[in-house]
Amino acid sequence: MTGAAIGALLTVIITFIVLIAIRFHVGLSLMLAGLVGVVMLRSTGAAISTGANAPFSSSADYGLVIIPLFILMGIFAVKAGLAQAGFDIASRILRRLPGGSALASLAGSGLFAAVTGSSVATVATLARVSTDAIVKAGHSVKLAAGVVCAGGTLGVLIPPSIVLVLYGVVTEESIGQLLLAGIGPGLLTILAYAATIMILVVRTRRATAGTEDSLLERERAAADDASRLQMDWLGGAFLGVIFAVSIGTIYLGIATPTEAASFGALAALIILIVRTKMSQLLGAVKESLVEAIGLTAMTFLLLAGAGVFTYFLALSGASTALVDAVISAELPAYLVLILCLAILLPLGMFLDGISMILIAAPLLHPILTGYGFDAIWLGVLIVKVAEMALITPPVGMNVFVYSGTVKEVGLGTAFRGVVPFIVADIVVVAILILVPQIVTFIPNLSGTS
Amino acid sequence: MRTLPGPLRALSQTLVIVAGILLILLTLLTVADVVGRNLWDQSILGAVDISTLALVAIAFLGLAAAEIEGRHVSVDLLEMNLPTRARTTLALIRTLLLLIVGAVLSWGILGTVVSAFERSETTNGILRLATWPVKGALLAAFVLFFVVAIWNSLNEYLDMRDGKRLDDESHIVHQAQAEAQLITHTVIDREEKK
Amino acid sequence: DDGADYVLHYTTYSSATSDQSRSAQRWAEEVERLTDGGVSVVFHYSQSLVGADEAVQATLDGRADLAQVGSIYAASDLSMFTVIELPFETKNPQAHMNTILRLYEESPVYREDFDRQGVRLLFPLPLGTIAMGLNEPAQTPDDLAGRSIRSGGLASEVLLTSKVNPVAMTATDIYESMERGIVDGYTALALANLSTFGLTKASPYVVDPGIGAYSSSIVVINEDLYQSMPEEYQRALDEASRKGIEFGLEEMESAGRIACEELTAAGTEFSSFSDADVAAWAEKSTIADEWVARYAERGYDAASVLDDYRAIIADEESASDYEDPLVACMEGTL
Ligand code: NA
Ligand code: NA
Repeated sequence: MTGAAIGALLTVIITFIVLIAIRFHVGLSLMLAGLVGVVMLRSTGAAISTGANAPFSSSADYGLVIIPLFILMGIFAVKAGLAQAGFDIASRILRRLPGGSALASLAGSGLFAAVTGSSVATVATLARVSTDAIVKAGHSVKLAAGVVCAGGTLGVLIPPSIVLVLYGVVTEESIGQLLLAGIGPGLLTILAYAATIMILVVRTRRATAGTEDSLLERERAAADDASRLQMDWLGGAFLGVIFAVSIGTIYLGIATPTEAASFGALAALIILIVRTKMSQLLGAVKESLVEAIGLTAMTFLLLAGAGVFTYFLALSGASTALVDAVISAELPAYLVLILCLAILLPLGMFLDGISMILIAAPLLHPILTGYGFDAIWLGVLIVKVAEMALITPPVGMNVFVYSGTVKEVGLGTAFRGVVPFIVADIVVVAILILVPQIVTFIPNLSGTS
Repeated sequence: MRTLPGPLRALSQTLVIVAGILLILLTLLTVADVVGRNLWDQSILGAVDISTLALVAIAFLGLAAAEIEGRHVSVDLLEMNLPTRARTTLALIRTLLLLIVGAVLSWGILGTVVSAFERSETTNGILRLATWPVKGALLAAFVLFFVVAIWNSLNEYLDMRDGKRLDDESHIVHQAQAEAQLITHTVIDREEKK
Repeated sequence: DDGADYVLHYTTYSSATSDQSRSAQRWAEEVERLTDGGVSVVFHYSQSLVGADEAVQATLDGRADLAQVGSIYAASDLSMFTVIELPFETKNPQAHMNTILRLYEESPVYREDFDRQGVRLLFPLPLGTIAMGLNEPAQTPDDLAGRSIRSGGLASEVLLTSKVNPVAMTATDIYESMERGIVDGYTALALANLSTFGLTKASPYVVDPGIGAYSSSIVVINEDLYQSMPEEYQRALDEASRKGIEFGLEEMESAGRIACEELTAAGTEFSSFSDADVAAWAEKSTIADEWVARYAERGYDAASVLDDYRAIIADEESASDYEDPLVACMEGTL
């Protein structure tokens, strides 16, 4: 890198941080900071062209068609009440287990996040409902905070996942394989979170055993409530249908991910039509479209901003310099891996999962594949840790949103509630590093390259 | 807080509906292409070309509506804890920045529309579709987005100057809740009814 | 790079290890040598700077200085240059490359696009004769009817005349799609590309369909930038560019040799459509006429460009006995 390039790079980074700090749009901050750098290294004219062409060039890509299709599919499914059905079924099935209400909330969070793809929106949606249900069953608000915040992170691994799609887009890895690779780690994370809940609950049960306020008794009362829930088994089955159509066809190699997403969106639309009263149908479809288009615009503004930012990084030589420096240092591979993953955690302070992947993946991916790690496995690991950043101290957006939505729970309490789940996450990441087959066995089984 | 002028709101909604219809058509086009290819060995000529161009419109026509609903990601962890004067000044700075970015970007995108039209720019797929209409749609989407964003930002500044909206909730929380309500209000309604 | 008077940013859609990027690297080394380090080139591969279809615009507006411009991405900016991707015109890549350069000097209509876009042609990069990889054998063009074949550019239009479904798809996705049967074959690639995309292991049948050297790319520089350089640097760029075709053919051959060995090791069956079949296929194709008509409508004297192109090709073919790597591979002479 030249002296001028280093100066421009520092200016760009400082500009970006200042813009974020004064609460400027993240997408526009990326764009503006990048453009300042282009002015410094090239010319004002080149900068204007870069900004002006960014929206078109960042979206005129057939590989991205899958994004609005997945978003639309998810919203149709939620509007058709399918996520709710899944939530209710989970509440009913899990009601007798220790921490049944917390397990059901976990399942509910996982479902919503999986379907909508938005971690923070899932937290905001379920924070109140889940907290009330969990507290009513006799548990602490700390547990509720942990369950909801951690549960929101499940969606990025369980397909469909916009974040995994974007990872595939920016690193040019197979999107189909990434989506399939997320399943194993997603299930492992659910198991780890569920085990965490049950360990915490069993410990509290023991501590309160025999007292008037015995946790066991209160849990039983809550479980009886849950067994009176009206079950929407058909809704649950439809949820399975959508999953089969949108992910099963990728697994079987019948369709490309984009084709699978279009089938999924159409299936979800048909289910919505079947399950909605005629008089409300037009409204429901219109609402879904409005929501899907809004979420799509939000995602693509980030993509356009990241496009300008990465153009600057390429132009300045910063990307190649960083990648070359780390690779030529020939450090122990697993040390580099852990450092690269650890860098993501503080980014959760000011970036959501999508922005984090758009900025970090183009840098981390070449470094780590350069150290010989499997590209698909890496993708899942990076996405998993990026999502962890949303719940780790000092600030994680999920925790922040939780505490803002459930006012009586302060940030400190919420973070303390999340700690056991962070421990679970660390265990999961360690297992994924030690047993990479958990990531790769489904894509390998599917018989794709 | 002053409400957004009706025509701006209506225009934003119209663009969203156009994008929504395009998205449904895109879904059907992709499905028809796959079905045709597998059942009758006949795919739709240029489906990829059409989809790619439609995506550009779908991607950005909702910008202004998303801004009205407060969906765009921004972060206020630091800003919230500053003194009133500083926060008011920052609101003004944000407005000015939006004005500058909006003017430059709109001007630049206008340039790409004119250039695409003059050069008869087309896609490189088999259909060679003209790109200027979609680039024109991009221009409309961004201009409207910046008008709405500047309106919102200016109002926030004016309110803050008058001592209002300073005790507001965190923006992140607001955005997440707005998004949550829009995507999933079925759940929230249901629990409230109980 | 701090010592250079000019640091030129080169944008390409090719990967760093492709034969085309290697040729450009050799050109850049030559320029650096001839200018004593006064001019250096920074490479941005795989569209990491700007997209392939933006290359000309980006070179014009200052986002890049040098660009590899593929003919399939040039329809809007360098319309007349796309004459070189017409199918069935030549099977000799060397003659093809020389023609691309000579047209720049000899055909004013062809040249005008470059001048208007503010870019200067430095040298062309060969792609080679179009190859077709298939899951099932095909003896004649008619055997392809009903198959879904990955294609691009004018090759798709050729396939349509044989009732093929041309499927647009980036080259990196072909391998997986071949494995899963999402496509039955691929084309619009040359032998030299096959190893890069892992296709040497996914091509049970490789056919020379007779379409010939159908597409290519060129390296261009921003004209104002070129004119702003001292004359000695301009001369150095010109001198290095004169070696461009030689570099390109050499690198294409070595990439083709690797692919040929891998295909042979994988047990690929090679074949060619017969001359009579190709002639009949070419007869059916009205692509050249459509090309002329399409651009005549936009006010180009496209017919004169096509005439010049054919005349120069004939001239260059008679002066060259170059054998395309695909043909050489099939004959065992590569
Ligand atoms: Na998901
Ligand atoms: Na964090």
